[in-house]
Amino acid sequence: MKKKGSLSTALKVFLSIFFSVVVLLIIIDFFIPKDPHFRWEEYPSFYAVYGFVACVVLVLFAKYVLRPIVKRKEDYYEF
Amino acid sequence: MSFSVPPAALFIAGAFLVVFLRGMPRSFLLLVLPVLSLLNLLSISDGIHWIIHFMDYKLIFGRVDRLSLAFGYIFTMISFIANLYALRVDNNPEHTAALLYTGSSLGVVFAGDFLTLLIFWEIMSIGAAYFIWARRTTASYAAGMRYLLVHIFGGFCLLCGILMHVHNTGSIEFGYLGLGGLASLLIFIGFGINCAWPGLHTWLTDAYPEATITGTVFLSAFTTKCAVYALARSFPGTEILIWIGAIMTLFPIFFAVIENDLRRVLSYSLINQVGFMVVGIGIGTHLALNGATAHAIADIIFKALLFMAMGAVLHQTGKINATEVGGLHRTMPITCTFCMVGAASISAFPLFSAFATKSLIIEAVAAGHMPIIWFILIFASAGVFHHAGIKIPFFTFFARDSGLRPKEPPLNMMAAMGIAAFLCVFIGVCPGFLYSILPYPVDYQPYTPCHIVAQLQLLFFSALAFTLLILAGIYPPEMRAINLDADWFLRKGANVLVWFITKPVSAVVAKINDAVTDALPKFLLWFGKNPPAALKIGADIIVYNFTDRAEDRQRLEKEKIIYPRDLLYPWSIGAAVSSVLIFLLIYLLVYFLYYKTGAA
Amino acid sequence: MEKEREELMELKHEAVPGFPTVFGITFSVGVLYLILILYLSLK
Repeated sequence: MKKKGSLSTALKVFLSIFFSVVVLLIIIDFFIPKDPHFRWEEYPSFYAVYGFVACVVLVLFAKYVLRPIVKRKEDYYEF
Repeated sequence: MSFSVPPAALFIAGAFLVVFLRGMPRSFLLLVLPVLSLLNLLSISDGIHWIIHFMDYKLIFGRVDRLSLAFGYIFTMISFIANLYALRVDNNPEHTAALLYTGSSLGVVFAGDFLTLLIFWEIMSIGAAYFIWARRTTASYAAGMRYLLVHIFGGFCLLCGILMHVHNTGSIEFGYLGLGGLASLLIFIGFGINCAWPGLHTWLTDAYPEATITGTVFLSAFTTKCAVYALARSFPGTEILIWIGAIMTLFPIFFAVIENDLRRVLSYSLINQVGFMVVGIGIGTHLALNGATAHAIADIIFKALLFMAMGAVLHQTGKINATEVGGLHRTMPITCTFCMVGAASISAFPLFSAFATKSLIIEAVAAGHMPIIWFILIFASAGVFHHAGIKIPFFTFFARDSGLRPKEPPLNMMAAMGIAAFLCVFIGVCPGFLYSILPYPVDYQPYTPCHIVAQLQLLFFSALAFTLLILAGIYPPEMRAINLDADWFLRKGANVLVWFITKPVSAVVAKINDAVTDALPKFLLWFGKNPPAALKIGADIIVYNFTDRAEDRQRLEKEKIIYPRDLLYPWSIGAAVSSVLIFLLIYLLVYFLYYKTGAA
Repeated sequence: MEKEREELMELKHEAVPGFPTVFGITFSVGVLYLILILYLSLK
């Protein structure tokens, strides 16, 4: 299994395939005729960049803003 | 029509019958009932059936149109799957609760008037609460109580709203209301509580993860979807619903990211998915209402599938926290596959169900030119893949090796998951079938190259974000902890209320009680012994308070000591007669001013 | 291994060398490109 700082071979293969698909999707996007409702949808790979940034913002907000506010010990309500 | 019965009746009759059955006959009943119910639904013609005259009102147990039928079909279908999943539960009350709950959900959907709706609405709450209590833990008992309290409050709102509505309009017909006036607002809130609106949602994330393994599957299907149906029936096109729905899609995903209990993660994503439907109802166009209905159908199946997969893990290992499970794909590969089908469906991967249903709603948002809502929904779509699509299967079946080596769950559970997984793929691959049972004709093609690539980009880059965050060590660690939610105000507020009642309020009440039962009678007794002397003492107390002279005080002391016997100050006859006259005058004035003018 | 058998209080995710940089670059590029798109289309 995964040791500190190194990846197993299976994981490496999986990651390479995954990253290739990601790159491939950006390339394909240039050749697909678009059917936009909004103007920003016309730019190449809008969905990719929005999805990525959205998820990072989601995780960072949950980790650094929400968790410090709401996290309590498991027996918080038992007294 | 000739052989059909009210849709609720079959299940409710079954609920009483199942009490007496064990083993094979019980299994037979549990599986045959949904089939019979489906045949029953197929044989009913559109229109109004089963009218019972009750006092001056008509109770309608069968208002059948395309909207109610669509929900009827899926409720029947999911009851088959969930009953199959729960087949080995050897606790008859739980089966009774399941059938009662399913039956009353159908009752709500086919109710043609508010009174029938209300009755079935309340039965649902009781059936649901039983699923939570049936887990038989301290936590589940408390959560069930909280669940019931919230839903009793919701039912009360609904009842008040309905009574006011009937009083105002004289009609109990359950149809389009629209928001206007207090009556409709109360009904709106009553529906909203069951729909898990933001701030009113905590009963869901509190109670569902505490329910039994099989109970959660039922719970995830009915309560919120009945509320969606009721909103679609009474409040389509109510603009505020668009914003309520958008917030519902948005806030749960943040909680889901930091939540450790995986069934609670799914509960948050349930709110998120219902949010999409609420947005659709708020827009209220045919496209949007189709989308809300279609997404409700798809969501019932994939959410049940995910809850069944997590239930299977809980059933086999007794654990459900992300910190406790992991690496289970080694010994539960089939469950893992089913879970990933559910995950792909909720994330709206092409060829899976939500791709064909959620896009109807997003299309309606775009067609209505609502850019902010659109950004929120796309954000939520990415987020739902992040926590439900990746987090659930990743932490359960992959991630670290927890050392657990559970077997696959029993065959009936596997079969139930298999059917649900098949339906998820079927809806995704052949959306036309689902589209054909929606309330309005559908003119939409989800499989365009543009839509496919856009969706794939959104999902793969969400996955990329997850991968990079994990590999960069930034992803928040899973922790054994609880996360406060809006119920903090209720649960801590309840303590404050209890303190307030036991400390200040009860002290004041005790004082009043003392005064009324003890001090006042004693005073009257004392006063009655010699009223003129008592009045004289009262007057002297006032005089002494003003003058503060020693001689006044001495006189006062003397009067107090000799009090009841002292008759040195009898009233003169003149004074007595004048006081009687004064009272008579007051009486006359009151009589003329109040009664005479009042009568005129 | 015995430690893992006990109740795990916290499941941390260790950083793999190199990836914090990859993440930083990707995220920066993403944010800049998104701002560019929104700027151009909302202008």
